[in-house]
Amino acid sequence: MLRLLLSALITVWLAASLVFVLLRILPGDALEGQLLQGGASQTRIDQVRDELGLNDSLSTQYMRYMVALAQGDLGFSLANGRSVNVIIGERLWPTVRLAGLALAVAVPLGLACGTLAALPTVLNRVGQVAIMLAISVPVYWTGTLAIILFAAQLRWFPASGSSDWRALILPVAVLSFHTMGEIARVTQVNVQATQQQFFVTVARARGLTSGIVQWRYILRPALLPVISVIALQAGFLIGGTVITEMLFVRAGIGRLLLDSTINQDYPVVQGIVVLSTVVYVLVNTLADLTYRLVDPRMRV
Amino acid sequence: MRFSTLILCAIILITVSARWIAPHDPMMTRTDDSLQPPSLAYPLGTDLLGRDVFSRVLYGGQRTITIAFAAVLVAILPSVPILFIQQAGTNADTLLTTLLNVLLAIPPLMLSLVLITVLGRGWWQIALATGVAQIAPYARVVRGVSLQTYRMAYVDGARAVGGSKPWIVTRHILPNCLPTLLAYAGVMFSYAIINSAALSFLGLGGAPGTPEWGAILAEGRLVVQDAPWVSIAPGVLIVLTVIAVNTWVDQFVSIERLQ
Amino acid sequence: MRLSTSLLILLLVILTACGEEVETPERAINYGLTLEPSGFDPHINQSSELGIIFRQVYDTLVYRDPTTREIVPGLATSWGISEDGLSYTFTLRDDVVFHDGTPFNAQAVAANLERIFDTSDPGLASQRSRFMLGSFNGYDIIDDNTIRLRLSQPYSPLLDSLSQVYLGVGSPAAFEEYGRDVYQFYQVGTGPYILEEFVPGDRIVLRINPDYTWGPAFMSRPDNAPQQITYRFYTDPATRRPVLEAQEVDVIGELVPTDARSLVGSSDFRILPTPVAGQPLQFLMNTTQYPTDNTTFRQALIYATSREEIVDTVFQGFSPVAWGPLTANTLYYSRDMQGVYPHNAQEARDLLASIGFEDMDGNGFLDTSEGDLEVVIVHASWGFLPETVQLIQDQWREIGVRAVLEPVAGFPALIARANEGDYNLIAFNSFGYDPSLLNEYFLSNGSNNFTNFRSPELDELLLQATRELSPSVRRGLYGQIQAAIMNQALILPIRDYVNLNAASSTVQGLEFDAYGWHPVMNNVSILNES
Repeated sequence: MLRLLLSALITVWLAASLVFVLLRILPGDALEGQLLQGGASQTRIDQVRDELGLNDSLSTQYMRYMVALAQGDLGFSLANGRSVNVIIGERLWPTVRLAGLALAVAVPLGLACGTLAALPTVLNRVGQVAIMLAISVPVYWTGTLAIILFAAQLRWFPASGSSDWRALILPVAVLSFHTMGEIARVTQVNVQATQQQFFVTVARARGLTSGIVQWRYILRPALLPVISVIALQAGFLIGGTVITEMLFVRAGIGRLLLDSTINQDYPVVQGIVVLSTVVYVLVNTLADLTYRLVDPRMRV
Repeated sequence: MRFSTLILCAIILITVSARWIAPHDPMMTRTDDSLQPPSLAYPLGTDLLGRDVFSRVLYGGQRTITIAFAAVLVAILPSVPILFIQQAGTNADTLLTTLLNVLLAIPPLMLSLVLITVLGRGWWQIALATGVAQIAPYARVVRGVSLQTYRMAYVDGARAVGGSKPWIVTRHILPNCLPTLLAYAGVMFSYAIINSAALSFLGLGGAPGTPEWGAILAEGRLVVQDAPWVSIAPGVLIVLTVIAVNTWVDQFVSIERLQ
Repeated sequence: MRLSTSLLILLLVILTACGEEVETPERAINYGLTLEPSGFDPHINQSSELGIIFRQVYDTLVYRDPTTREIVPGLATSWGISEDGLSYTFTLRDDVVFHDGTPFNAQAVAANLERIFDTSDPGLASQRSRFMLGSFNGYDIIDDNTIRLRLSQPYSPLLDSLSQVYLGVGSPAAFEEYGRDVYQFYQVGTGPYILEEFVPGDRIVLRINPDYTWGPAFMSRPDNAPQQITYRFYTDPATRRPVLEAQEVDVIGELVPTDARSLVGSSDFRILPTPVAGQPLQFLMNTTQYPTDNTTFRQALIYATSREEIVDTVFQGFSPVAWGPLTANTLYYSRDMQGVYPHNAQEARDLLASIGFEDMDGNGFLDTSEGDLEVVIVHASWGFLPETVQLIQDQWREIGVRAVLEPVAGFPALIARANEGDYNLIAFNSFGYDPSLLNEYFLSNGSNNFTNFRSPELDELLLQATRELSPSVRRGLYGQIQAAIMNQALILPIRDYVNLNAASSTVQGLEFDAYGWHPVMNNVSILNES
């Protein structure tokens, strides 16, 4: 247990450091951009950077950052001086809602579709085609088409907004469609693989009916690795919301990440990465534990 | 399965021979013919600046496929030394696993975005950013498969015979991992195509106007209600290529489970 | 499995149910913005976009009438300028009240000035408000309704600056209560609309100020004015037309030109192309980098560029060609600029030949000692620059010049590139009604002097034009300035900015201020939709 915690902490720390260093390779940042746009002279810009400690050596800034991080303080935005904790906090819930709903829809659909595509049933083909489409069309395409068709032409659902539940329908549908594809794909492969396993043949030879064979010997073992895939998707989703939030004009972490990256507002980018890392580590640790509980063979 | 091989070969063949098949210069603008629907002169119509969509899609395929290939190479190559390091002992292995976990913990799109910030926008930057973001997932698959292979009986036999670790890796482990690795490489190829399309869409691609499926798709988005043909061609090709690759690699999925 | 399925369903229900339901009053407008600035405080941030919203929340001492373009009374009923141009005395209205109930008076104006010049903050403050006050160096409160502003030198753009939202008057009580960082979420002014809600990243909501009776003469609130305006940010151009058609916004700006063209005949929507004052979409040419260090070469580049083709194709004819450093609806725009350097590929070729460029290896491009003749163009991805530079690239191919396109991802990257200096052309511009905005770009030590052109004569002209109070003298000076800039071929102007606004036909009376970006919402009425 302690080992797990330690390993998790180290992962987060290393990820934060990696991003910190990477982002500082390039010259220029959001602060300079802001000041220059307002007509500041170079001397003024240097003065401000001095006052904010941005001209200190890299190691000094790094130490300062790590100390603050250990206390949960993610720093201040270079573009507008607000606390990164506050900025992220404002936009976290809409993204969680979007990602959470997308996952909640995608998981059962993905499992069902993947199983369907793998088992020798009539709807086999349908499942396979759906999965193929879901993983091969870029998200911004499905999103744009959805907006044009369902919002502009048919007026069934709204294309933007964050305040009422109807505005969630299209973005969740689009996002879950693609997430479902990923989950279904892995499910399909695993179910197919399990079907060919030796012990299944044995079970069949023993005369067990098809239904029992399918459930106990194929599906249950096949679904185990899917838990880890779902955990992986949870991490992906935070990145996956970037495009969806931009298209559907929703407040959220994804859009914030995109804007801060383009504006070179490093503290915000770092804050989001640290957050995602923490979420990923959390979810994966949970998945690990679940795995050990569920799969008897894994019990060490 | 054979059908998918056919499609893949067709796509690659067509894009490679763009220079001979393309009826027009993909970069030449002719604004009098802006946004023309498909016709004899322009088989897939023209875009906003009057360029032939068909020619652009042909040349675009070259760039898209090259970028995806480069990204896959970037993602795969580190796995080879990783395999060796794994056999070198538990300390090196633990260090490696920790590093890989760190990379894995950062969502791929985020990692790509951060890398692009550092490298600037451009085509090879997209390939690099996409590839690097996939190093860790791929290495994890490699690790899983190699561990399984390592446990197999014949490896014990090889060790009993006195084979050195590197020899075991090259002679026994690598060849047996190959099908799964290839399959996953295929998956990564299609992911790379979609990812570079996404990065182009977000405005992080190379010089404007250079044909690339994702970039053409992004350009087409702006005129999709008036000139849908600009987006249909690259969109369909992306989907086709991805489907073909994914179906083609299915034949390599063996009894090994993909973890 | 059953347990996990039911857990999932429970999760679904909880997530959906947790949402805020918003009450919408009868006459509400949804306004689509196109850019999300990082901050909204008019005294601190400087994006034009924030003005679209907060122009309605603040009054200014004076206003610029959108139709006559004259400076008219606002919060100040009259003003006097001293002989030497160094002091401006304003007589203020005495019937004005801030949204929080506190009275408007000279002390309030003074508090605003103090705030703008507050140096206690490590200056994440933009300089724009300060910059716009020019040579301001103090104020005197004469009495509750009279305030005098003192300048160290005559500064003719002062009244123009005082008519802009960046010098809007906010409530000192609110400044006190909220502090510098938080104030932007609780802004209090005296304007026709009150800030009701600000959810960062999502929306800003204004509601009507029922007590507003002190607006400038050109504002007349109709009976069915919108009671609430909700602003959202639609940064992706491709979604602007769909959301307009889906009726999720009633007004939206910066439509993609092809979309605007398609909607022109529609009975449900009106396209309102609004010219924006200031500098046109332009490329600044680097006079210290080969080959644009040669004036004749730069002139050849302008001759080689068909602005008409760009305007017709990329901007669908909605924008006029830009001929000089100012757009046609900017103060003191000189008509002499019309037709300067018309498109003439042969002229361009002749000029290039006259300075010694030839294509000896016959590959279609002129030769230099290091290969083909190349010109590096640095640009961002907004404003349809990518499409514009692609056309330019093709047009210059005809005269044997290879244009190397170097796009940058965002504004900081653009600035970094500009500072590096290794570019020939860079796309950069500012907006504003008074032509003194040229100072930043063309003064030898201007902060945006990306042409690196340094001329004492031009400096003198620019500085004099900023000190001179007589309109006719200023007009003459700016005529000379514009001519000088184009004679030296310092810029490649492409098109006058025209904001392609679109409004649903239920929105009547929508007009924009003299600067082009900001709507006058107080004159808007909404027809009843059945």
